Amino acid sequence: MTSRLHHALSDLAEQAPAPRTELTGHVITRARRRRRVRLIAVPAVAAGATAAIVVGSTLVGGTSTSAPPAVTVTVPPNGVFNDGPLPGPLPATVVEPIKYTYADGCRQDTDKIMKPITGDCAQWRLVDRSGRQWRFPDAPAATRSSAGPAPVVSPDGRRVVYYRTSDEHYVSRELSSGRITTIRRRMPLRGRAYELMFSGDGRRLSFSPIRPGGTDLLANTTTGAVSEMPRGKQVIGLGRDGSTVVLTASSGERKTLTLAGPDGQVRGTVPLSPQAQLNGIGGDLLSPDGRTLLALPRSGVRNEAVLVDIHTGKLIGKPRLRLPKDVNFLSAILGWAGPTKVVTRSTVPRREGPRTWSERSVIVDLDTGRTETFGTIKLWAYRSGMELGTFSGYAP
Amino acid sequence: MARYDGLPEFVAARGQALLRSAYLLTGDGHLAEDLVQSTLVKVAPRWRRVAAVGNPEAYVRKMLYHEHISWWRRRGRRNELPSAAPPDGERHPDFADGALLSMVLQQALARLTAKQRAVIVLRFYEDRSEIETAELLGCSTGTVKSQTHRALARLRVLEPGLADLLTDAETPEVAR
Repeated sequence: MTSRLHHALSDLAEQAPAPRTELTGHVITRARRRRRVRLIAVPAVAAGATAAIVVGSTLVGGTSTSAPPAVTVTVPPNGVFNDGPLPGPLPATVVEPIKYTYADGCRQDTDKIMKPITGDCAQWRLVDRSGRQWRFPDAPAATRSSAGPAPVVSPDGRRVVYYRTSDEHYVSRELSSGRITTIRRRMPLRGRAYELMFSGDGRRLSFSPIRPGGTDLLANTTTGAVSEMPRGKQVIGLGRDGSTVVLTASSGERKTLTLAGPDGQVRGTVPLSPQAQLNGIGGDLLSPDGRTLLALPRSGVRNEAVLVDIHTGKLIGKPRLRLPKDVNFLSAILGWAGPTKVVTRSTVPRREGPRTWSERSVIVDLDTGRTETFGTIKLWAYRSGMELGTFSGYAP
Repeated sequence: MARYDGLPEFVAARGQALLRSAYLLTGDGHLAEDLVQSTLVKVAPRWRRVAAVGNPEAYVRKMLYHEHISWWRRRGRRNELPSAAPPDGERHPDFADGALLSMVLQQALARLTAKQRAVIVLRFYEDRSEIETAELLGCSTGTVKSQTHRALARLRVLEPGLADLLTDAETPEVAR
């Protein structure tokens, strides 16, 4: 058959990625793991069932704040993410991108139990596109009294970076392979904290000290290499592959844009249009092609944005971010989901009781104004024991 | 390693072809990699027997299509594919631009059911006959015919701009 459809499909298939060199290794490793699991599964299930019956019979009628048995769970039909048993730990490899992170403290109220939540219940949960959930024991606990940095997931949902308290390093974990890369810079957190921002493909990650005076860093999450950005400048945008870094003054009035390479070398500085305001919105503001920066207008309306050409600093558009009526207000722009689409995050009004927490991510097409819901996370938890993480897995 | 003898060579030789089919099925590079890897993980334990039959690719492809349909069933009709947004009907894109045509085709394919996509890929990308397609998907030739007809009709509805492409495709389809 030599139809045009065949040619069109062939052209499309050419866009498929090249096979990774480690594909066979991954396949054989996973096949061996499956085999081992099968060999021990039957006796283990029998033993587990017996143990569950024994433990269950001892707990009936009593109250306990200890963690329930660990199993893999999915988001239940009612949409409340934590309306089920405690999920099991994150497996060595995860196939689908991660879409949400959260912590619920197993629905415990620390104000009532008068002690911090610890153990499995204090761990962050990761949720994939299909709604499967796992605990993430590697990251610091999410307890409010002694909270460490939250794990952050790359925009494509395939990499998670977390803080390793034992040696005070950040660590990058590729979820599909389980490969760990240590970021080669010790970052003690005593009195310090960083804002983290991924490039679209997750291969670069910037660290911006929250307190003024420090130097921004840019890490390569696949090699662990770190470069220092120009002093006194804060990273506000990374292109899809991180080859272009946009910076502005880390404190004071922001009148210029500085462009740098991933090695921190300055490539140029341009004056910023006075109508653009570069604060208070968060996220990666640089478009995937590395040319356009999303910013707020100088005066006021929160849902109005301006687009700035990073090579001239001039305004090239004023899109309006019209969000659906059933969300409260725009709390952040997370990044770009495509050449013309940005991902926003908003809170949702509480209509289902004081302990229900909900946030929604809406993708807005800047060209057409169309919106589509990327996802909604809903928890039933006490404020004292819960944390809402962020959305991920939106980048193509 | 004896259990997996020949598997690395097979992956090196046919991995790209499998990825291309998987890319057309999923519409996403990462998902295509995941689909191929998941399929091979399931094939690996029985690799010696599969290779002994003499045509391992046929078996792997059969597994690939079944795995894809199984994924889709597990995911449900949530339309979370990255390219799920329909093409903008108010615009009139210039399909002389091959890249744009590919993008529109990809978005329209993403709106089909998993089985319809599989039929389109098998019949019009891999040039399989109706009998071969039925055998690979484990259904009757009548089902292949009806699924093909429905898939082409749905593509026409989703993206009228592809009509020429699809008419051209259906002519040999009817003639068979």
